[in-house]
Amino acid sequence: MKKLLSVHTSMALWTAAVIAFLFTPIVFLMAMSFNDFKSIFKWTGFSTRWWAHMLDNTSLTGSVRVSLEVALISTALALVLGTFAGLALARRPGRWTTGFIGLILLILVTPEIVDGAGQLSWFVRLGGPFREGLMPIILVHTVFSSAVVTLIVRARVAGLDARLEEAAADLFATPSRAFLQITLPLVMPAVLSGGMLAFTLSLDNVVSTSFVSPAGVTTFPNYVFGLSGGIIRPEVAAMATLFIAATLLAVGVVALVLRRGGQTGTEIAATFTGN
Amino acid sequence: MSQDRGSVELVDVTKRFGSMVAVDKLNLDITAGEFISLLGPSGCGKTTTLRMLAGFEQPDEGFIRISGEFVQGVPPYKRDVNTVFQQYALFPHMTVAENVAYGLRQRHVPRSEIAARVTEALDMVKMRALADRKPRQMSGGQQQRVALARALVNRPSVLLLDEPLGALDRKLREEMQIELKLLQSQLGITFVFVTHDQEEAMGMSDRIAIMLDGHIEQLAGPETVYEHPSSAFVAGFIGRNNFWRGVSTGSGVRASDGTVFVSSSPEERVAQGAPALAAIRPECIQLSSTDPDRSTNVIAGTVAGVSHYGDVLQYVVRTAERDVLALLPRQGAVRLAPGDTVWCHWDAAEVYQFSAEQADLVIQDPAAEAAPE
Repeated sequence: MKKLLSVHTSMALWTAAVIAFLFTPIVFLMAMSFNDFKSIFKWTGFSTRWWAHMLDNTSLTGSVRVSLEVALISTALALVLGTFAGLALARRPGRWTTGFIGLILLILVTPEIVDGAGQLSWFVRLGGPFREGLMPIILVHTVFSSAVVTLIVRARVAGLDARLEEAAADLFATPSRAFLQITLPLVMPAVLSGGMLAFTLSLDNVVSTSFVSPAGVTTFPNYVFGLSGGIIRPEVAAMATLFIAATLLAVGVVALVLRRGGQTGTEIAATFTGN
Repeated sequence: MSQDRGSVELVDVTKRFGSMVAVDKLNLDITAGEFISLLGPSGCGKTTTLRMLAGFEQPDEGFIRISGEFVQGVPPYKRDVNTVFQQYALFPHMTVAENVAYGLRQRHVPRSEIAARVTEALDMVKMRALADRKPRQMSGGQQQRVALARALVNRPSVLLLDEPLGALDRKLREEMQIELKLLQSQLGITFVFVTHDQEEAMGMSDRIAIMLDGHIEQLAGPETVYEHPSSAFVAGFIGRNNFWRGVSTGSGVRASDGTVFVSSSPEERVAQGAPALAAIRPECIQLSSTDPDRSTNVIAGTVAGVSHYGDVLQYVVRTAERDVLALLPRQGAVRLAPGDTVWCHWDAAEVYQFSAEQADLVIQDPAAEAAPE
C-alpha cells in the first residue's frame, strides 16, 4: 500500500513538472507584459504602461487586424470547402478517393518554405489581386486549413452511422433537410474543432505568409518576427496575453455551445482534440 | 384506392450488385393489414427486398406497387412507408420526443397535433416517461420501442421492420414479439418483417416468405411451412429436422444405411430411383428400448446423449451412419441413459420425401451439434 502511494505521488509530481515545463513560458510572457523596462528580457518593475501604449502602436494594432481578418476569412472558406470534401470522401468514395486524400496529405507534409516559394512565384505570374491586400495570404492559409478540416470532418463522418441519414429520408426528410437537421448537427463537433484548428494555424503562420505578403501588409506573427534587433517590447507581450485570453474565451464559448447542445464533458474534450 | 392502402405487390423484381444477383425475379403479393415475414439466411435477399420497398434501392428489373401505386423512382421521403431499422438508427442528438416527432415535422403537421400524436405513440410503446431522454441514456429494449413509435406515429400504410429484435436478449425478444403482434392487429397496418430467426417469424406472422438465393422458396402460413415444407431447405430451416440421403422408392426413400422410409404423405414425390432425401422431425421420433419388430420406418442405435430442457427431453441417438435427434415430451418419456440400446421409429405420416438437390444445404447433421464429444 505504501509503495502504491509513492508511485501515485511520483506520477503526480511528474505530471506537475510536465505542465510546468509546457506553461511556464506562457506565464512568463504574460507576466512580462507588466514589465516596466522596454524589453521582455529583463524585469525592472511593475507597470501597466505598455498595455496603454499597445493601442497607440498602429503598426502593431494594424498587424493584429490583418491577422484576425485573414484568420476569419480563411477559416470560413476552409470550413465550407473542407466540410463538403470530408462528407464526399466519407460518403461517396470512388476511384478518385485515394488520390484525393494523397493530395491533401501532400499539402500537409510539404515543407512550408517550398509552399511559400512556389506560391510566391505563381502569384507573381498571376499578378493583379494576387499581389495586393489580404488576398494572397488568405488563399495560402485557406489551402492548408481546408486540408485540415477535410481530414477531421472525413474521420467524423466515417464514424457516423449512414443509416441515420436513411432514417431521416424514411421519415420524409428531403436530402437537403436531412443534411441540415441530421448530418450537419452530428458532424458539427468536427466542423468546430476543424475551424478552431484552422483559425490557430492561420494566426500562427509565419513562413509562407512572409513569402506571399504584399508590400505594406503584415500579419501579427510576422510583425513580431520582424522586430528590429529581436527586441520584444512588453507591448507585444501584452498583445500576446490578449490573444491567449481571447483563445480561452473562444474555447469556453464553443464548450458552452456544445454543452447546450447536450454533449458531455468527455465529448466536448473529444471535439477539441478533433475526434 | 383507399381499400388498397397497405397492399404491396412485387412483380419479377430483380436487383443486382455488380455481378451478384441479390434478388432474382421475386414475385410477392402482400394483402393490406397482413403481418408478413421475409425469413432466410444472410445473403438471401430479404434485406435488399425490404430496402427496395423503403426506396433505398431501386430494382434493376420488375416493378413494385405500394397501396396500388407504382413506386418506380419514388425516393424514400415520398413513400408512405416507414422503417424500423436494425440497431434502431435513432437520432443521437435528439430526445425521444424529438425523434418521434421528426416525421410529423417533415410533413408540416400542426404543432399541437404533433404533441398529441407523439404522446399517443409513446404511450403505445410505454415510453412516455422517458420522452426527454437522449437515445444513449436508454437500454436497447427502450431504444427499440422508441424506434417503433417513431415509425408508427406517421401511420404509414406499410411498416418495414429490419431485424428489429436482433440486438435484444432472448427474454426481451419474446416479450416484444407478443407486443408487436398485438400492436399490428390493433393498428391494422401492413407489417413486413425481415428476420433470420425462424422462431420470430413463426410466432408473429400471418404468412412467411422463406427466401433463399434471392427467390422465395415457400410462401405460406406458419403451420403450413412447418407441416408441409415445399423443399428440403424449408424443412431444414423451419424447426429442426433429421435428414437421410438415399434413393427414392416411389412411396418412400431407401437410405444409404439401409433404413427404409415409407411415407404415407402425398406430397413431394420423387421419381423412383432418383436421389432423394428423407426427413423426420425430432419430435416425431419415438424411442423404445425394445425392438419394435418392424422392417421399415425404424432405425437402431445407442443413446449418445440426453439433455433436459424442462418441458422436453432431447436424446441424441448414434446410428450406423448419423446421429438422430429426438425430442420427447417430459411426461411419459422413456428414461434412457447414454450407452443404452434404443430403436427410433416413426409413423409413415411423418416421413417427408424431397429431391436431393438441396442435400448440401440441409445435411449439416442437426444432431451432430448437440452430440457430446
